[in-house]
Amino acid sequence: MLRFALRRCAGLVLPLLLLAGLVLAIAPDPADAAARALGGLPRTVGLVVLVLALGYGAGVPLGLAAAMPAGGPLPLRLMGRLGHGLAAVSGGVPGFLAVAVGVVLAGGVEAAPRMPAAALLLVLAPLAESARLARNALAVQADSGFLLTARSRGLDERAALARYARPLALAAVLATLGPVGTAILCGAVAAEVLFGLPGAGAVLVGALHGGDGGTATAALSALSALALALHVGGSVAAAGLDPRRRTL
Amino acid sequence: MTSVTAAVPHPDHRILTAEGVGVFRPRRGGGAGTDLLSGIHLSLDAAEVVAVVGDEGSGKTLLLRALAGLLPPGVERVGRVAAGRAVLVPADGGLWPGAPLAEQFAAALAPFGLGRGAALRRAERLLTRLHLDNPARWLPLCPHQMGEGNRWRAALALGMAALNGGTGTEETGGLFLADAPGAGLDPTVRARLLHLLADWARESGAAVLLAGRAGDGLDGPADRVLRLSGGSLGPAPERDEAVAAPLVPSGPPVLSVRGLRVAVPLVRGGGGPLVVDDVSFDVGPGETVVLLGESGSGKAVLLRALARLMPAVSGRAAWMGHDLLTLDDGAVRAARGDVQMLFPDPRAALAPTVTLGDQMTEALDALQPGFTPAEQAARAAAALELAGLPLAATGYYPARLPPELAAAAGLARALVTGPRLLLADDPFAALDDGGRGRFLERLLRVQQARSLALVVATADADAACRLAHRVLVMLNGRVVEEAPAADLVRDPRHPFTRALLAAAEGHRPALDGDPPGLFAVPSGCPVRRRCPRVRDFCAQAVPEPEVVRPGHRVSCHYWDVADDGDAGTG
Amino acid sequence: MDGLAGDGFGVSPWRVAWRGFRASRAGVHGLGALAAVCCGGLLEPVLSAGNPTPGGAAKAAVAALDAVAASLLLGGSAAVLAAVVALVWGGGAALAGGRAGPRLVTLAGVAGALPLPLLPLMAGGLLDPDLGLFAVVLGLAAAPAPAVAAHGVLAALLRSDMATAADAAGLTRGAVLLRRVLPAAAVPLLAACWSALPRVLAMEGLAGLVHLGPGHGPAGEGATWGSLLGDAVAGGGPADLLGPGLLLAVTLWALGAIGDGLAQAAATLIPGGRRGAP
Repeated sequence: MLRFALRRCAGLVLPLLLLAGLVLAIAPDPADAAARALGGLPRTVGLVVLVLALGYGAGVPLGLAAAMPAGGPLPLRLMGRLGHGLAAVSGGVPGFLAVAVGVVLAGGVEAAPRMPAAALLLVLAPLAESARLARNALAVQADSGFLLTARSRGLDERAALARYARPLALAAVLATLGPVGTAILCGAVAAEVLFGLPGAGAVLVGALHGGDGGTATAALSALSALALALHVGGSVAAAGLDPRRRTL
Repeated sequence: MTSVTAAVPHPDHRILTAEGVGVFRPRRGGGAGTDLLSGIHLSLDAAEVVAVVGDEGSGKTLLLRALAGLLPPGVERVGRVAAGRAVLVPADGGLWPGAPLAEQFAAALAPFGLGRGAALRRAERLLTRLHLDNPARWLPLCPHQMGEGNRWRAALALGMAALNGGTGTEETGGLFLADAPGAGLDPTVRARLLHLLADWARESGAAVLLAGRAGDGLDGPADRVLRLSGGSLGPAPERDEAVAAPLVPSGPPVLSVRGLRVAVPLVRGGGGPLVVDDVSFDVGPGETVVLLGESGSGKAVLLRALARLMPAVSGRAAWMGHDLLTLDDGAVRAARGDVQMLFPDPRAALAPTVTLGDQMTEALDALQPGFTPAEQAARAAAALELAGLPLAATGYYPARLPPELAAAAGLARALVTGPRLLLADDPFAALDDGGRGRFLERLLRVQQARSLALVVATADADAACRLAHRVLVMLNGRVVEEAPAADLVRDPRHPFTRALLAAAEGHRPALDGDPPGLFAVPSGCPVRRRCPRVRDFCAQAVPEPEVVRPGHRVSCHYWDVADDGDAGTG
Repeated sequence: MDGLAGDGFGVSPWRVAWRGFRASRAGVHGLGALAAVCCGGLLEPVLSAGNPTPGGAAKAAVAALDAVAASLLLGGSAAVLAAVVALVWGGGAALAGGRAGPRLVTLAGVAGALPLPLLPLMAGGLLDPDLGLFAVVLGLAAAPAPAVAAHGVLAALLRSDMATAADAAGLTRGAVLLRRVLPAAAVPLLAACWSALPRVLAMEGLAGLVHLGPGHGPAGEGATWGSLLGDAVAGGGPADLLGPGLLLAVTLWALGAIGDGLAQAAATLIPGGRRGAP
């Protein structure tokens, strides 16, 4: 597992070097451009990680509950229904749109605490998407032979699903951290601009409006590095739960 | 409805009693539903092994799930099932991919009071019983890191462990249900494994119910064989199948292969290891030659090289005075009208978006241009009739055809150009037992009607011996025994041939272990690590063919030495 | 054998795929929602003619409907370009094989991991592109993910026994590709490339929201949902946002649902799947 993680991380080196080379080639003052871009990156990282944690933390259990067999205690049934509902609207609420709606409805950015509001608005998309992914991933496992084996040894259907199918479904969901994280990243760019948060996304858009290609390239490179790191993090986390993914 | 509870070996230790068991899908809103299984009476006693065979879709899996109380949603059971502890090994083996084997054995043996250390020692013993080589090496690995044969050994051993800790008595043996055990394995490996499972059942007192296709070797180790057909269980009928008509010699060979070598192209333009090595044989007019071998034997690659679908490294394949291997593209196209091929899964080999009729017309346009549309239609109709299909089949789209119909469609497509040589790559692979018998009969009829020369590659020794005039047994790219089919059945000399024939007849093959992979072929004789006759010399030289009698050659250093404990073919 | 020769085997795979699509509830609902959005766009001239000087929410709604055509045309043309690039990229990798093929796919995989939706922003800020160039950038940014999927579909079919059997039946390499592989791959490829359409619309929306997209011309001239979103956030109120926001959300959801339906349609075409007469 460690070797797999190291190999995936090593795979980041070349793209990161290429991104750094791009900044060096385009920016008239690479050091200044990099400093401005990297200065805003921690806030963007914080926002994206917070949104991912909230979205997956709430969406995945709801999605898993939605794929459980009928019956069970009332709270689980309610969670399942909510998971189905969220999964059904997945894809219709991109992060930037949620941010725009939130800003306009609040009557301007000053009306709400900026960082929590941005996070809450951005979380809608990963919440619905992770619920859909988790529901589908668990449903795919429902006919697996290992579940029959487990049930024939005395486990009931729910317990067998929870013990054997859930880790594999979780792995499938974690493997999507990259693409979902990239979508959140793009929403975070909009959120930083509209809420006036000084993150790398705001630096990017500010530089583009000001015609500063060097700083824009540096900010884009910083955001790209974050997206690549999310991809690697997702695949490593998934491989931790499903050994088959260590050889992919 | 048939009662099949006769001949009970241990009436005092009945493990399973199923009376009047039926499975049905209830209709929405009440009323009579659809019967899937009905009137099943079945009993199993301690240490008894019973096989239930049936064609695809006959309900074998459903029966096992009904007995285990694990029916899928939407179906219900009637009748009485009384069984003690039961374990079901599903069709894919049911190993959990999420943890190493050691964890899975520890969890399975924990209910029997075994700690981790004791559980792993027990696991090693069970895996050794199933002839897994060096089990301590495999226990820390996950299922996907194992080969197919070892995965099945692990799956069955886990089932044994979960049922009675692997060491039951007639009172505590329990019921072991296995759905298509060893499916996908080579026949010798599967037969050996099933016999080992039966040995364990007889020792530990477990009752074993095996379900699968007839012809998959389940009947060999079983005390009783039952057939599931039309939703009911009954005794298995005797097999009565066609055999090839005796060959009347009629002239020189139409295909003469000499010194054929084919390599796997690992990189573009570069060579790889040889998968067919120095193979020579002749095929006469109207003759059927069967290449009999297991996975990795090179039989399919050989056929594809003859059809010019992959390049040969060296050798010669003389067909009607031309070397098929060196013809230019235009001449190859002309030759392909004469030399056609059947593929293992015709449903996947025919285009899904083009009707069968259009595919036949396209083949005629490409290989034999010049026919008018009326002539093309007549040839297509004749090919369909020969393949046993109605004329309406020209409008069929192949992807949705059931396997038997798809096999006939593939045959019709191949026959439309009027070939004189048919190369058939595992033509029975996708068919169940009934379909296999009918298709084999059809192939023999076509051969006689068209005086076709047939070269068939298969791992099914039973079909091979019924279909062939002559059999070439292949192992790791070489022919290790060659003989007329009757001679081979009567007096097989190579240990590998004996094992193949033993597996086909349900006996325990003397060969042990899995076939070596392409990159792990041992020095000397390729079968020496599995062979009961092995001597030191076997590692030193690849055996050369020796003549047993005219027309019968064998490549074994000790073909004339009696086996120690080899069950042979009887 | 006669007993097997039942009816239903002559149903064309296209009809089978359509039945598979219809079996997907989400796909059918998505198609309905998309049709409703398109109808709204077509009815816009009627609505604005009936009330030539609307105000408030009605005006914003009419403006959003007016932008349906521009948004869908821009998105559609960019998605078509993305599909073409994906087919050339993925198909080229499948045909190339050897060492070049896997490298091309790896490149597509790495490109797909980058935040490509920011590429149109870069183009909008640095190149000040017209609508055509912006569509090209959108198409290129949306291509890598479908390229990886297209490679998977085409490489599997090129290696399949179907291609080998067609070769054995005398078809030329070109005929195998055009008459065997591409028709068999059509529905899976459509499902793979369809994802580019919601992706480009979302990218356009993001670019417009931060005023780096097209359509910021004189009142309503070439306006897209993205530009209307940007205008609404910059100075408008909830009423201005409601139209473009709702239409974009419904369209994105509908396109995603149709993609699910197409995936289900593709699954029904797998040989042996859902066998027997319908």
